[in-house]
Amino acid sequence: MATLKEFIQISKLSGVDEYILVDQKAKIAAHDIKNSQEVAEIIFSCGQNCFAIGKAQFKYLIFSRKSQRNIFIFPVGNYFLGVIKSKNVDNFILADTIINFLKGLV
Amino acid sequence: MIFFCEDCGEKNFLTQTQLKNGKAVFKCDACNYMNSYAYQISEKKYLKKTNQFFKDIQTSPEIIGSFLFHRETGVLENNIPNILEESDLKIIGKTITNNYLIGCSQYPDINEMTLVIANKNMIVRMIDKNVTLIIVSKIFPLSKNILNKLDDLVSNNTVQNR
Repeated sequence: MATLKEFIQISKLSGVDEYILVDQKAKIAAHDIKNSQEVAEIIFSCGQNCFAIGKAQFKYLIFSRKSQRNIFIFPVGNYFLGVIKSKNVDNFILADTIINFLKGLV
Repeated sequence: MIFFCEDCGEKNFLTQTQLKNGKAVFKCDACNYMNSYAYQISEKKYLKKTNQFFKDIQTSPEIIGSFLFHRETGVLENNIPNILEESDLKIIGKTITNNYLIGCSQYPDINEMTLVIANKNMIVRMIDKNVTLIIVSKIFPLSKNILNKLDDLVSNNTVQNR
């Protein structure tokens, strides 16, 4: 089981601008993001909705934005991880990077 | 949905159960007049264009299916293979639309949502505040050809709704 100290290394990944980790009660476990409380609610609600559709097959969700700072939501055990992508970073490269990072924590 | 009383012109908010077989049947909240008249849902303006769009993309090998969902009236167009019933699509459409709107509540510049489940991708665009277009594909991003058609469809409808 990964420690929070290991987890917060996510902020150092290339392409990760901001991140937030929330539990199944929308409580923030770790973050480096603006408006954390509002974002926590969104990550939690959207994560739950996606899980309701995809169950264990849910891999991730992307909100594409005009600003290119796209928002990703990943299921991480009993948590949901929200990531805001840096501009000019490819969606797939970032998704792969994060999935590999998360696998490395297990 | 909002319907106007034929007698006094008062605005009435109707539920889905008050809309039957293309007719709005309701007693006016203001004057108690019993209304019963045929209506044409405004979403029909989308249907011709989206129908053509669906036909155009359906032959592409990357596309599994697509559907158009209205928040209040449910599935407007369905090009999803028979593995899913309309009741399933209604739940999926509602959940996805809800998700999109939740995202937009904090980040208004969201213009697309992609849900990746196993090896399938659900690409979601809002045509207006009520109508969601959902494309299920084997790959993401979609090919440039399909993306251009999708951009055209969404931007045209957005202009019409202003």
